[in-house]
Amino acid sequence: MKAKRLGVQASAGFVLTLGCSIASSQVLFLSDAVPFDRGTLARSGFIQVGHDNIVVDPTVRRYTGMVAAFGSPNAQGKMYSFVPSPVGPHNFPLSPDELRGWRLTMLSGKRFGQVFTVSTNTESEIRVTADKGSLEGLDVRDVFIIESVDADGVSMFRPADGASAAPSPGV
Amino acid sequence: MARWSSTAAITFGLLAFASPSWAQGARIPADAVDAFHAALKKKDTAAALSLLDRGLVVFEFGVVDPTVEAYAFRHLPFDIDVAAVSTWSIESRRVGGEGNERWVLTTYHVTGRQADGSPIDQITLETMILRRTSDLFRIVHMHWSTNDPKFQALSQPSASPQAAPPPK
Repeated sequence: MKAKRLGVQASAGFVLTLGCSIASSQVLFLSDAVPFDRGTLARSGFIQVGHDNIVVDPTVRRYTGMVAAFGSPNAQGKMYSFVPSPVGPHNFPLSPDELRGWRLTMLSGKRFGQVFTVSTNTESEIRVTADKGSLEGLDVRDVFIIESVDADGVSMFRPADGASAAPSPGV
Repeated sequence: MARWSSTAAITFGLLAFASPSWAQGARIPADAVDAFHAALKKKDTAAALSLLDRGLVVFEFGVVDPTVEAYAFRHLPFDIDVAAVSTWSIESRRVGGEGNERWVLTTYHVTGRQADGSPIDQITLETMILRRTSDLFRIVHMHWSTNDPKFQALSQPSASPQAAPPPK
């Protein structure tokens, strides 16, 4: 019985150690990050690059932009919405809830690589779901991409059939 | 039984909390390269970013993405679209380096279909330099080129015979 109890304690200890080691690698990833030099992106972020000997159709719709301002925090002081400024090659005037369910990935700043899911949007504000955490750590001028990919990684984009069909914005 | 359920719940909770898709990298340099291509194929932007060092510089066909942000913002979406419609088969690979800096040289046979239906059939050469931090390798430099003669002529007109300097 004692041996069994020790076994269970050892298992729990292993689990905690494993979890902590993974968690610490995550923290180190963040702490290893080189501070993002906004001037560098301003100077170099919009250089036209090559690689374009292959011409393909977009496989997802995309909206790229920059955080222009933040929405109001909720009652707990957490922030889940921001005002976007359209920047870059993929942006278009937003219609209400056009981005609902799309995947938002931060491309700069302290939350580089962090993923959120859009819960709703207006013409001028984007709100994310709470399940992936709040927007704390984001800064004004951080850039992001929103893709028509759902929380399970499945593309929500179906190319229009027929040559006469109007292309979707963001494609 | 209840204890095992609790242990399992703790395990699941810790892993779910501790391993978001961006907390990646690889212990073997070539694995990081292959994982990067796999992330592109899966349209997993965050997973692809997690395999890139924050000091990344990309050279592609004579032009430069000087920061990881520049690459992510302008170029990564296109690479995802290309990966979705093409197959990259490894033809050869050499690895080297030591310590925290390694290199992986790979040639791929890239096949597929372009938007107009024309075939993609070319050799792409890839140089990857990887840096190890926190026991994980991430890509700090990428350089791609191709044997596609049409693109070579387009991107490097000075290499054509007509543009060569006259003999002295």
